[in-house]
Amino acid sequence: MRIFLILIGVIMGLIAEDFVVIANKNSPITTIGKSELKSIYLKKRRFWNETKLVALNLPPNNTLRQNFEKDILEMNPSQLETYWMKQHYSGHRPPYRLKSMKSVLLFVKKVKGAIGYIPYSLASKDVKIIYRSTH
Amino acid sequence: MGRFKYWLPQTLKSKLSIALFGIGFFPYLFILIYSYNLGEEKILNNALTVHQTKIREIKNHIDEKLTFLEKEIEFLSSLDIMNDMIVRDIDKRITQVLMQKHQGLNLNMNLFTLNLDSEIIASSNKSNNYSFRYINQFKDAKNKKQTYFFTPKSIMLFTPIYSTLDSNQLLGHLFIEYAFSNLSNFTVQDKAVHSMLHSPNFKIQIGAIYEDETIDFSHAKSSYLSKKYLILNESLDGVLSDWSIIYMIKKSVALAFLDQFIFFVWTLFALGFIVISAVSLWISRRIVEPIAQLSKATKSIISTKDYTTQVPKVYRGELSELADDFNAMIRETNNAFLVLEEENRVRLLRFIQLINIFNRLIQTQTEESCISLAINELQTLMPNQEFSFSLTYPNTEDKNQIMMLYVKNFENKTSDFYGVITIGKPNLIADLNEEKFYRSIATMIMLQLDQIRLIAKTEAISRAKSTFISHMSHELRTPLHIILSSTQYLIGYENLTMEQQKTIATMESSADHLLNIINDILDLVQIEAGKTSVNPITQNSTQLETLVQDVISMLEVLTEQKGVVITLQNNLVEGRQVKMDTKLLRQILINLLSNAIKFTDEGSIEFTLEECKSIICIHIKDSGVGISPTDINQLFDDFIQVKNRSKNNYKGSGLGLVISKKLSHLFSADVVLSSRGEGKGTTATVELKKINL
Repeated sequence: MRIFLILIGVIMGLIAEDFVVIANKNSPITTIGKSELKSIYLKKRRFWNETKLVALNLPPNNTLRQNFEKDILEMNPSQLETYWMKQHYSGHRPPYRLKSMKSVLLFVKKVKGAIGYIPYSLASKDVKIIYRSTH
Repeated sequence: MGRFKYWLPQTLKSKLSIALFGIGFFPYLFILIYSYNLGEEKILNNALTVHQTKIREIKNHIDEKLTFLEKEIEFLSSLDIMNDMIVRDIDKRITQVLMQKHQGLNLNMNLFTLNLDSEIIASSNKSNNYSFRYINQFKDAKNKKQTYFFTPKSIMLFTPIYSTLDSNQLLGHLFIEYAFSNLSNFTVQDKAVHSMLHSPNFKIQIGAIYEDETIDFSHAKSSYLSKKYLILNESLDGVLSDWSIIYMIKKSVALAFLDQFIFFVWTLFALGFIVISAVSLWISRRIVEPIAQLSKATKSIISTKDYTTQVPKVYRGELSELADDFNAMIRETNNAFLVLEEENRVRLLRFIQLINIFNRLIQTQTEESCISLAINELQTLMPNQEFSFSLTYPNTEDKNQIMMLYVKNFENKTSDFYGVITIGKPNLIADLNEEKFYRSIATMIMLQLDQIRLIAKTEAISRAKSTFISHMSHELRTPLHIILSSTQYLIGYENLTMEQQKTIATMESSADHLLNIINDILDLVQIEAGKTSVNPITQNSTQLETLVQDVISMLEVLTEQKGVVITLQNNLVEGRQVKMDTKLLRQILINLLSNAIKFTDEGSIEFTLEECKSIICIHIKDSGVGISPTDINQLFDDFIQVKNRSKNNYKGSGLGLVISKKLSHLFSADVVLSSRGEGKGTTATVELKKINL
């Protein structure tokens, strides 16, 4: 039974790859919790100390994004849509969306307050890993 | 105007033609003059306005276009996606957007973004890997706070890109490189108009203008006319504010409509000329023709003197009246002429009758025949009237006693009543003129009666004078002869003393002189009584010369004591025939020569025979005392010897010249005397009738 569960876990792990949340090397954030991450991505928190935070997203059909939203935001796409619709009227917009993970990595490298998620395998020394998903 | 009259006849017809022609032609002239003078200006102004409007439209188009492009890039730069500038557009999303926009605009241009390191991050031009070459111009523009600058081939419009994530953060710039060639869409190159966009600062010209005209750019912002073109120059606004747009419009094309119009008017003008000339000529001819006919009729009447001619009546209106009046006038004139002619004829007849009466009256010899002839003639002239003559003095109150006859009594210088011709029917006397006619006949009768009486009286007196003189002379001659013979006897008596002899000689010479006078008078009386026998014969010049020579040699003795020389010169052609009475001419010559010798104390007497015009002259010119011109005329009166001569006791009866003249008249000759004045000699000339062969 335990082996079975591990197997499922492995399979799940294979399907849902681990991601890391990265930030600029000069970012004041060292580590971040799930709830903090969620409030940043829902644009409830915009500054860290005095640094303006820029949350970066991937295109909607991206598996990593889907996983990220499921794991961190704990909301499905329709819930998110409704959320951002409401937020739109208060002048808030969803996080800036980039097309590729490569550009996310580059963006984070360049912008001090930027926060993005990338697969663990893509993480480099140029960025700071502030969060790691656990499966 | 005077010259004008030479080639333009001043007739009604030509005046009418010109007037009609002028009226018909005035509008044409007006249109032509208007077209030439005002039309061109107006059309050019129109063209100017039209093209100025066009230019403004184009200007606005350009301006709009550039503004539109500026807006486009501003919009593009504000897109979220521009945040990809941060990641150098790794995902090519900006590139994609730029390319889409490029396609949509479909212009010769390039859209690209430049990051802060002046690297081209994204470009609509696929093959565009070039590096940005206009950093300096870009910086200049930024310093001048302009959002554009120019490259040699294009306009660069740019706008900054700010991060939407952090609005304060400049990410780079979005550029649009707009090629100048696009602007050529705003220029025109057609047959009539060429236009050009032009920037003097960048020495850029887009489009082309006519090359045969040098544009004077000092006319900036104005329009002007050159010889061939209409040139408009307007500066642009906005980005292209130091640019201007130049329009050149071919004048010929702009004025093509006017030229066509003028051509049309000229064509009409030519056609109109023919039509109006023809019509005006035709109309004026129609108006004038009747007048010409009238004139023709008048001329024919004048030339033929046929006053029965009538003007044909073929017109209506005033001319018809004129023709009627004209005809009436001619009829009147003709009638007047006929009446005048008749009256003239009657008058002439009466006049001729009168002359005839006068003629017959003056031929009557006695008073009785004169009166009876007058009554007969009057009776034939006026057959209705009755005339009778009476010697008794009539009752002067009667109206019929208008032909009273009086005769002149020359001794008492009074008029005596002679008789009266009574007019039987005085009521038939028509007017004063007839009365005058009768009176004039009466006057004529009176004149004739006077004349008859005068002639009778004169003849009686003349006869008495001649008889008296001849009797007297004859009676005087007998005692004179006795005195002469007695004294001549006594001169021969030896015992007389010198004193006694002298006295007797005086007696003898006086008696002789008296006898000469008496002889002369007898001669004169004989001539006047027509008792001198005349025998004119034809002689030739030689015979005449012989006669003259005879006379000279006969009287030469008288000159011997005086020292006067007598010469003779015959200038006559030999064989010239002369009519003369030899005996009488000899006597005349003797008289004239002895006169000449008598009045010439010394010098010469020249005889000259010559032809004077149509006669033969014998001049006897002396160098004697001469005569003053006033006295010359008296010389031929009877018994006249000019006074100054009698002072010098020239002997003579004074009848010599008179006798000579009268004798010469008997054979159709004459004696004439002339002198250049007292002391300058005298020339006596005998004029003989020439016989023409």
